[in-house]
Amino acid sequence: MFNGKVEEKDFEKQDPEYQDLLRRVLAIQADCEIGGPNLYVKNILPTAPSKVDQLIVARTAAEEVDHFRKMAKLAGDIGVDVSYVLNWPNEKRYVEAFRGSIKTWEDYAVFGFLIDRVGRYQLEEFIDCSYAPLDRVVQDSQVIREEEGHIDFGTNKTAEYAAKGGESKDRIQKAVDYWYVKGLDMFGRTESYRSERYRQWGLKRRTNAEAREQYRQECNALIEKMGLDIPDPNKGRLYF
Amino acid sequence: MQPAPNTEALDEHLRVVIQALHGAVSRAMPHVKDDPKTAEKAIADCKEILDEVIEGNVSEWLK
Repeated sequence: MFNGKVEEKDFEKQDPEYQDLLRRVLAIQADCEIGGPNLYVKNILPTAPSKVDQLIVARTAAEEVDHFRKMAKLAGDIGVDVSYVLNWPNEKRYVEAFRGSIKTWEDYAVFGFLIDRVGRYQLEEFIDCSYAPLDRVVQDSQVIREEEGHIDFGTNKTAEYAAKGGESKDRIQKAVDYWYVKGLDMFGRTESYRSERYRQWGLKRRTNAEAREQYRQECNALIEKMGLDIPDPNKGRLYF
Repeated sequence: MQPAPNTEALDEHLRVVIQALHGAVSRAMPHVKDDPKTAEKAIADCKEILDEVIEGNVSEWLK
């Protein structure tokens, strides 16, 4: 296990595998950050239930664009131009959860509740990671704090809809069913060779399976508390 | 290590974009109830800015 700390000036001296993995993970992280606004701005910003909600959607998108900026800067500084993801159609996104579009407020709420929560897990992977500039970005409390704000908003809205009962509860359950498996899939395959290499080089902390299981337990407790049904964790899954 | 072309320029452009979005939201949020027109204008401004981000025409941004 690699225990060193790598500064930007020493990047080129690192093992080629380390360089490749860091380039890859920064490109994927940047893509995921900009993938959210691409999913919901078009349909949800104009149609959110109130002006306050519309402003919250705009602020959330601004924060995600800022997270993209930070990842793009880290990548750019080591010679990787990730600006190509800015004009990618959604269908090309690295991560399947970002390949569609969000058209309903319920889906927007559950996206915050479940998918931004995965985003927090992914960012937490980089805390104390071996690439010091990336570690500094996530140690600065702003990025994770903002992500937690998105999660809290989505969680509260999901709980509100569930508490209303009737059709509202049915609609939110449907959205939970849809996003729950997408969230589980975002952790990747359990037997992922690349995931092990990320850990070997100190770029990630947990195995895919460990992170997914922690996430599953955290979500299940919240879903139960809201009085919703925990979806089948295997139905519609792409990666096991 | 040579940075990728336009790294600084893209970073600077996005900083300005993000600042404009946060500015619009911060100005409008306290007045949503007493001045709905200001809120509507802020929402429209944010939509216009975010539509450009989503279009992602980076070469145009950096001209």
